[in-house]
Amino acid sequence: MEIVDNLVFGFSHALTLQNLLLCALGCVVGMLVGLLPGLGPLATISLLLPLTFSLPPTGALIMLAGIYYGAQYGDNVSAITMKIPHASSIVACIDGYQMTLKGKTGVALFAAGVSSFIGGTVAIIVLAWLAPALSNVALLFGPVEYCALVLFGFVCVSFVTTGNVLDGLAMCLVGVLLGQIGTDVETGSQRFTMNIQSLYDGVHLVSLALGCFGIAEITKNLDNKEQRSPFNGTIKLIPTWLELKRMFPSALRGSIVGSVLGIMPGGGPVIAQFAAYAVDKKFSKYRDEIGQGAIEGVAGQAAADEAAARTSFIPLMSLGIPENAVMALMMAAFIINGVQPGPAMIKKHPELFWGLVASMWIGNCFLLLLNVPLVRIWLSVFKIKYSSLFPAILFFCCVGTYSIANNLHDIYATATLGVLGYVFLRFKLDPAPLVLGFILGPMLEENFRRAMVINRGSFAAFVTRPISAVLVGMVFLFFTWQLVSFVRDQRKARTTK
Amino acid sequence: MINQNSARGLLLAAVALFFLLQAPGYTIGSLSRPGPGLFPLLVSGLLLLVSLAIFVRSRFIEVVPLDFRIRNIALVTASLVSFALVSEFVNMLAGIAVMVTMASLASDDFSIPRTATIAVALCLVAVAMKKGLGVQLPLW
Repeated sequence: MEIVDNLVFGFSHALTLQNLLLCALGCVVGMLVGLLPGLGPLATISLLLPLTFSLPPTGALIMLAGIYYGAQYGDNVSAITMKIPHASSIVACIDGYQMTLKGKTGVALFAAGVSSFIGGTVAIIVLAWLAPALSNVALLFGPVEYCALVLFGFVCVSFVTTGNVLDGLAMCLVGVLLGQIGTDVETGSQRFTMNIQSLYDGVHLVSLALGCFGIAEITKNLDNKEQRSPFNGTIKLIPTWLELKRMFPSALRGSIVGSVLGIMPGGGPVIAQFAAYAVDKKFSKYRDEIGQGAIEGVAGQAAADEAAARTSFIPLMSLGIPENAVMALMMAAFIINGVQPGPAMIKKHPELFWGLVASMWIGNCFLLLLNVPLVRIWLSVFKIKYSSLFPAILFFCCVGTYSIANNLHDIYATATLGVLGYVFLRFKLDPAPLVLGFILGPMLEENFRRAMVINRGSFAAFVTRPISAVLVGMVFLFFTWQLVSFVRDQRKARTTK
Repeated sequence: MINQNSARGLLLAAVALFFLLQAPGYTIGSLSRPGPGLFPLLVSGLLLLVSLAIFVRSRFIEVVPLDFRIRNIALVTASLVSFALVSEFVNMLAGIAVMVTMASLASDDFSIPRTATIAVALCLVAVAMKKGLGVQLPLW
């Protein structure tokens, strides 16, 4: 049993005092930013990125991963009690909030917490088993395949995050272009720097993420008036035996759906929740009640959410290719800490890989503790008014930017990108694909140039090499499908008029 | 009234043109020997195509009015810029006070005592970060 040996090895690294504390810290911070508006996991991870320079890589990544999956838990709580999802728990708003309206907040929180734990546990088993196996697949990938996969990923992410493939794809491309600013690595020439000296090193990821996800989000929240939920703060946590019995099948279904969808390009928590919800609506014994505050509607999506948050690490750690914006940021964190994620990582840094996997399960236990017995403490966070909160978030954005290089001038870059992010938000353009494009852009360019040189300037390799041909074909089919369905909708609209 | 959907296409086209017009200034090279200008040229060209498609699509779908409010983003940006300026020329504690005051004007229930409380609390956090965590902050 190789996996068991490896996991034992992983736990021996994750259970050191420092790593335990970092894991707990990550979970608590993640939970908090999941609960509070204005700072999602993306902004928080980039905020803390400069502070992790002094930590050993394993500890740093354990903490950052904790923030990510901790935020998913916290987000569920805020979606259930207030109907405000901050990061991604859109589905929890449906049945979760209906349960709050019925006065069953406590049971909904219990179901979400326990199901998330189940989902996380299933996903960790999948992760430990699949990631090492998949790293062999990565050896089949050359520059051509890499370019095709990134393109395919862009299309998937665009479709999933915005529901509108053109808008999302455009944002990916804007991200790639923003990543072009600075010094070209191969030739050393300056590109798009407009002779501004601080742009010679390019736009910093921290500035971009804090601008688009911190400053822009805060301003958008300020534009909206505060809403009040009928939630009164008193909860009864323990479900009845019947409710408990109804919860488990959904949680297991959600775990499987989430684990699978977490691995897909463009996959991740959001699509997993929707899929798990749809599966429950079709197969649950109580499907007629879903949508009106059924416990299945909370349990299934929470399990899928948590499962997908873990398995989305698989493509990053085995292929070295992040499949969504948060994973792209995690990749940046790996690289900043001196570790190149990819097929060689598991062999070269086994303590990091297995330590991280083991810490995810430890984090899962922490979060179960924080979310079920201790959830009342967290609910008091909602009493803080947004007008007291956002100046503090702005302050942390400033300090986070400053501590990249102890340079106050970087704050101007963050402010500029904040304005840009706000403009994009107002034009209904989602900044998440932008960050993905920004991080993948330089690597895409490097591989594209290499592919062109190897194939003497011919694009033929993109359709003659099998893996790349399949990916390019899928992109092509996808666009054809989009175009056909658009035209059909237009015709239908015209005939009904 | 501005239509959000068509304005989105134009905004993206403007971004594409910003890069597209500068790209020929760098060596393009050829496809078999790509220079630093080639990749940005291709990407911005693709972006221009996508933004035109978005613009064309907006002719067929329902008109959505563009909702753009200048006040809050102006206040938030100004608060960040003044934080950087005051921190550079005076010190960061003063910068925090200025930033919190300006930013608080953006909320719909501005109150002086609360703003002062937040400013003092954040100054204490900043001192704790400098003394406790060793973060290099030019506080005084």
